[in-house]
Amino acid sequence: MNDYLIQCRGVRKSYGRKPALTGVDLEVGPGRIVGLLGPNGSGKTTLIKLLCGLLRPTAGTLAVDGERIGPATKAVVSYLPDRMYFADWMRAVDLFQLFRDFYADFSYEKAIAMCRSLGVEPKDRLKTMSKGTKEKVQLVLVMARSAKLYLLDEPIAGVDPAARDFILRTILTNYDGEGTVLLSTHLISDVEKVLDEVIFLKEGRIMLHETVDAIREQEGRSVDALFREVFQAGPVFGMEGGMS
Amino acid sequence: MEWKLDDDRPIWLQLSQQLARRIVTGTYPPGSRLPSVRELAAEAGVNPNTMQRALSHLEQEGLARADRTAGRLVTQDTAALEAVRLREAEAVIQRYLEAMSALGYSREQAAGLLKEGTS
Amino acid sequence: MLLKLLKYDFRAMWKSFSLIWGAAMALSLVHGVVYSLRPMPFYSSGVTVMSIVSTVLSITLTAMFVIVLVFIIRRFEKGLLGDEGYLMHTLPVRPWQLVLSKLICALAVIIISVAVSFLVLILMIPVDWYEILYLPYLWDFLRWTLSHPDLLAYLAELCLVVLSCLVLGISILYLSMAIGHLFHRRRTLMGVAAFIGLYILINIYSTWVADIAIFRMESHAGLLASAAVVLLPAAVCLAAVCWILEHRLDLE
Repeated sequence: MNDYLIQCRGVRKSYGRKPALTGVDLEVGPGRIVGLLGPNGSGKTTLIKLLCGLLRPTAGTLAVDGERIGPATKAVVSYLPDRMYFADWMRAVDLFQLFRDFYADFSYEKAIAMCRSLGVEPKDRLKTMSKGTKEKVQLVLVMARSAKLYLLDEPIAGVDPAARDFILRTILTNYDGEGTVLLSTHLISDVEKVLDEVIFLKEGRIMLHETVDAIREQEGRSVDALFREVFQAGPVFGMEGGMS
Repeated sequence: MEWKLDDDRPIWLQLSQQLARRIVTGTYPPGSRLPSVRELAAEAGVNPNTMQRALSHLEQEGLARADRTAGRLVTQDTAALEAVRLREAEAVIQRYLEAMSALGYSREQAAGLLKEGTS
Repeated sequence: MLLKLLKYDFRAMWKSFSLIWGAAMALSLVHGVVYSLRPMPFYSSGVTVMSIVSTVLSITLTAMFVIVLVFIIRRFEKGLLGDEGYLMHTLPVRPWQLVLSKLICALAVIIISVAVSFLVLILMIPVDWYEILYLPYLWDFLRWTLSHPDLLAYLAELCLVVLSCLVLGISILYLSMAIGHLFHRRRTLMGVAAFIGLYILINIYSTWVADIAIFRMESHAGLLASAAVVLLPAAVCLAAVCWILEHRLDLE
């Protein structure tokens, strides 16, 4: 039953009239690092939010580790959102305690150790921390768990290349080998070498789901090069068929 | 030694070749223990599964073998090491000849110049 | 899990209110001390200080209840429908646990604030406890109360009715915010509109209930029934809130 860690069948999601996902079928096995690639607005964040239970699908079913999305799956999913979710009054250690309370797979000691290696003082108030430091704390929260599924929404967007390298290394060295990492990004060249598989998402649909090695073997070029071709903006020749 | 990865070939293959190079050049001496998959993957900044595949390929080539207690050991089979060294040497020669041919030298002239240069 | 959520909510409450509760008590103590010094020679200056202190005190108490209201709204709106929702809704808990935790915390804030206000009033005027404890009336009153356990039951039931009304008020606030959340734009405006709508609905409901049933406040059954009548729409509101959080959550 649980050969696949992620299973999506005919998943659709619309916000009001606006469709975000238009029929996603997806299966991802355990122990993989998977890149969810696509331009902005292609539905990457929506898919991740559906998997971590922040959204409900309009149609279709999703399962993580064979279970429908709910408290049981939330207990095994470690989610890095694309924004800060901290309450001002907390310190990093308060958050660590909160995570230790709620997630059985969270290691407080590991979190403290990660802070030390990242140069973050865990007893500082979050309010006084810089944006970059807060992002590090959030990464620590996510990676100090040994979850079955890590959902990382744009973990390397908006940081400089050195920090990017650092984040990828943190993910590589801290993720539990049994877990699967699904990370969304539009900066492919930076993540390509850490990925097992890639999923190309375009206009709410999966265009391609393939291993990186297979793409390089078959296409004789990098995933980045293939991505650029697939998502090349076509030239616009006026409006055919009336209103836009 | 740095890990260099180019864009057009599978990553595991490139990793495997660079590991083989490290073995024949003595970075990992015969009979020594290779770093673990996770260590190597972290060092190269690549996916552990990819590094795993590269190491499996090394085993297939007879350059390393899995050991129950010590992880992965570099082979002590000198014949296998020699074969890889020879293969690497052939690749270097091939590159040399290609470069010389681009400069307008024949194989014989290239070989002659090489001899003069080394004597 | 609910207990863990409560721990987190109560810590947030303590961070926000420890200062204001402490300040109110400290001010009332100052007031009490100044008051007790009144017959002293520096009578006039004492009065000035006292009037300043009592003004500050009344402002503090008013501010406290405004902050209580703001706190209740913000903890729900920011905590469950704002950025902090990314954390709360990915915890392995059910939405009803999240809502219940916020509700219990809101009730606690109100109750503690009311208690602090009473304490402030007591502290404001220095009381000779020795004298009070030896008043004959007090002991007579206590004896009388104990011989009429009914009275205590009435008191408890009255508290229950008041508590139910608080729950209903908070539930309406929560549901208004949740309804506002259903819209993509102008969520605050829609929330306010929803609040007005719900307020009217509840008024219609209460006049209707008052028409068909005669509740006699003098009887136990009457008090319990009125608590139930108040709790029923509150439960409906809370169920609707949970449904919205479960099925229509849309954190931007």
